[in-house]
Amino acid sequence: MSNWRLSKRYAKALFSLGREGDSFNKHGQELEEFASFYRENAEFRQAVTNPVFSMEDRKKLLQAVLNLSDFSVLIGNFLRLLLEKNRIGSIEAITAHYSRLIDEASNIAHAEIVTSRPLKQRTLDDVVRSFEGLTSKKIKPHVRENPEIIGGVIVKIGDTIFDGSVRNQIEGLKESFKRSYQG
Amino acid sequence: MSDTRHIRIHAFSIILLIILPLFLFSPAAAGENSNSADNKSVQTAVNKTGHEAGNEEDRSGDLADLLYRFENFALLVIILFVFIKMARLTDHLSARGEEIKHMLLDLKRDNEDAEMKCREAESRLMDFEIKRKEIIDQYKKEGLAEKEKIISEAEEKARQLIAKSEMTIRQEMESAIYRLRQEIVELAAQNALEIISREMDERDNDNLIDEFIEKVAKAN
Repeated sequence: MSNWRLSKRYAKALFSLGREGDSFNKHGQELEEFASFYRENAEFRQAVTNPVFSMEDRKKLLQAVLNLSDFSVLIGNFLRLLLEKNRIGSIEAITAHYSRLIDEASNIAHAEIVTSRPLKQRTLDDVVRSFEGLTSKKIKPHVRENPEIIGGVIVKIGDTIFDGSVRNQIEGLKESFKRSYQG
Repeated sequence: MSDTRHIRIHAFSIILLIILPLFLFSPAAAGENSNSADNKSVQTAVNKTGHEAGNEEDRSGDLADLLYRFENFALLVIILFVFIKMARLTDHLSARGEEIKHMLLDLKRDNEDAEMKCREAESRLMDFEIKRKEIIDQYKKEGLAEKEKIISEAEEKARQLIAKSEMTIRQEMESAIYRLRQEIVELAAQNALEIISREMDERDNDNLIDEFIEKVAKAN
């Protein structure tokens, strides 16, 4: 089974447990914290994933980290399970899946907004509002600048792209002209 | 061939028969062939009587010689006559004459045949000459027809080639025009992008985003 599917399965399992107690948001935050720690501490990462060290030593190391944090029992047990199953290396993928599950449960959609120059807050609010109306979901914007689009805005939600850039309009015009010459 | 040999045998026999009596019946031979003792006695007697008898003895010897010669000649004629009779030389000669006559007739016939063949050959030669001319004329006609055919085919091919070339030129021109238009569109789009990016200010950008928001709102 691929790492992606396994990560999704683990995330779903944890999410179903968290949903029962209505604490999936808290679990999500804890997972994010651990994933961030795991990402930033290369020595810890190498120690818990290296099979040269015994499982007991690695468990002790993880327990030491958990003792220093205020993670819930469920997250602590989940991380220990991942270590035992040698899946602790997939923590970032599991966290990403979990985050997506939380978003789905909370009716949140992430929108990648690309502009040619910085957006005014008012304009950004207008964009977010219009897409919230379109998708009937709460939009979490992630703004990125790309001068190559020249002007306008591109909004990407999931697999759907709404392209209102000048470059796209010019390209459309160009293709239209080319097609008319072909005929 | 056998006739020639036969004639040779006869001729040799005749010569033999002529020469042989000369040896047999000549006085000298007769004298040499008689007994040598008698010869000596006769010679002695002649010598003895020669001195005695004188000139009368000499003349009787000449007469005897003449007699012998005459007898010889007569005998020769008789033998020849008998031999010729026996050998049937006249028959042979007449047969040979007939043979030669036949040969001449054959040769004449052969000559006539050869002349006839010569005439036939000349006639065939004439026919060949006529046929040759006919064949040459036929070949000339066929050659001309072939020439006409080749020319017409070449003209047809040239027409097709020209038509194909014209079509190719037309297609190439259309293709070139199409490519040119595409390039013009590309350049125009590129220029438009450059001009817009140069000329666009914040207000224009806001207007574009507002238009986009309106479109999204309409789609809702």
